[in-house]
Amino acid sequence: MRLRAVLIALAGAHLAFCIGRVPHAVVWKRWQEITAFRSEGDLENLFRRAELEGAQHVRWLQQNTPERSAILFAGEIKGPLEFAAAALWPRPLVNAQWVGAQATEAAGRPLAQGTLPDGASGALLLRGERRALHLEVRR
Amino acid sequence: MTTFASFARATLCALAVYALVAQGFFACGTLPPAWLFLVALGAPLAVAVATRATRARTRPRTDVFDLASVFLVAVVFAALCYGAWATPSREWDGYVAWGLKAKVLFGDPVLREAFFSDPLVNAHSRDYPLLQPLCQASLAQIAGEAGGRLLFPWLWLVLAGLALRSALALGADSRMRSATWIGAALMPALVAPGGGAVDSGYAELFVTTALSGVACGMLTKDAVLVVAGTVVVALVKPEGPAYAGLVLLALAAAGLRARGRSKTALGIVAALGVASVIALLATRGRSLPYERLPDVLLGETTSLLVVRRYGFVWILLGVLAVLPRRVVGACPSPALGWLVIGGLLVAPAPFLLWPDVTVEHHLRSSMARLLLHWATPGWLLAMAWLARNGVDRAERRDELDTPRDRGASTMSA
Repeated sequence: MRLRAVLIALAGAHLAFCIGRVPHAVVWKRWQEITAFRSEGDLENLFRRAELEGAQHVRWLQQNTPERSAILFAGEIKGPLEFAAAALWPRPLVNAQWVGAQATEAAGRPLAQGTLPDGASGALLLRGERRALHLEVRR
Repeated sequence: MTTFASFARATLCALAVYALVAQGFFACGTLPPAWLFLVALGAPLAVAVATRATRARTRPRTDVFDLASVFLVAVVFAALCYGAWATPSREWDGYVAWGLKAKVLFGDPVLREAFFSDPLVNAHSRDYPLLQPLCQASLAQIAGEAGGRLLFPWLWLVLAGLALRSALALGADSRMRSATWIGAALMPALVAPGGGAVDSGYAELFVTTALSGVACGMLTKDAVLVVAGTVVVALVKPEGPAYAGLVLLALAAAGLRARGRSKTALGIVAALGVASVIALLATRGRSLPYERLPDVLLGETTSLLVVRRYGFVWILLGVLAVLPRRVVGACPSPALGWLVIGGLLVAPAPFLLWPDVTVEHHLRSSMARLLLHWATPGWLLAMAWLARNGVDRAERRDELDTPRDRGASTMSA
């Protein structure tokens, strides 16, 4: 009988814990998370929480390149480049290593061209590192 | 409530049919039309409502516990709908892998072709199954991108309905019934924000729902539901086929045991286990990182005890498993028992089969999600165990209360 009471108590503890978390963890935390995500912007929020750098480069590409273009990438695929690929779609990220130096298109789309704030212009390239992203012009 | 439970069962069956049809379309190099998914969404609801009258006699009386649990589920459902609709996925894999795939399927067919077949294009986990992104994209074509993400709270409702169905079929009283489906639906890791939660966009919810269908089918002896859950789980995530294999193995072992061939069942399971280990050692023996095994097993054990993610499910199930059968009664579904044990045993496999995996990082994220797959089936098993034990005891008490038994008791005294 005592053992059965222990089992009932464990089941009751599970229920009490699950129900008790609803107001704070399920509703309030979610509300706060959504508010922060919306006010910061998706990339900025995701990069900050994952302790990554370079969200501004992806944002710049979103604002300054046509949707019907492809963007070159190089470097580490894991890390911030994963977010860049998702955020920049429908602009596919194309591996610069396999695209000829004189090529003007890849994956059936023209390569994104642009002039960076430092004045360099040409085919744009995102270089990934484990924890950071850099925007360059292909040389 | 019976209509809701019936809707959940019909939905999982419809999803299984849809998943198989979608595989046919994939094999022909194309995608199924979006309206087909709408049929898979709408048909179960129509079936559940149309057959409502036939269940009138079996409908249990609704009391305050039922009303309170419906209220709780409604509140959480509203929060999850808002979480899914308000933003794209707010978690890593949901944003970079599953969410991106849904966008790709939703968009330009030429670009889709490039994404899936051009090796130059950066495509995260390109070879992952497409069932979930396809469902999301199909819904998005009709309801918009944000509307497509309402797939997730809808799946969560199906999971809650399957849990309720288990409780109803067991004939549990209203307290036990409410406890069963609320404890399953409000599993902390599913409803609190984070990787693997309902609105995170991860495939864990789809897997958990399918496995809950299998668990419900095993507990209620509903073969159709077991098959439907197995089909869906096999087609939704890379580990799905292994889970489907586990279901077959668990059913075979339990079937043999039921026919009084416990030793044969144990022998087959042991032989398959040994054969798998030998095959693994023969193919990858030298490259397997054995030194990781203690860390991985310790990591799994400590993950199981994280109350913040699974509540008290694993502790309760562990206690039920170790207590003597004369105290807790027999396991209500040996097949489900085997299945949950098998699921926990295969959880460390990815950390050993892929040596390049960073153990510390993946023990924190992947292991927690792999264990989440089995938490709801584990809870359903535990509650069925408790409910059955309660019923058995009540029956035994009733038997003792009959005059004949009372007489026998007096005589023996």
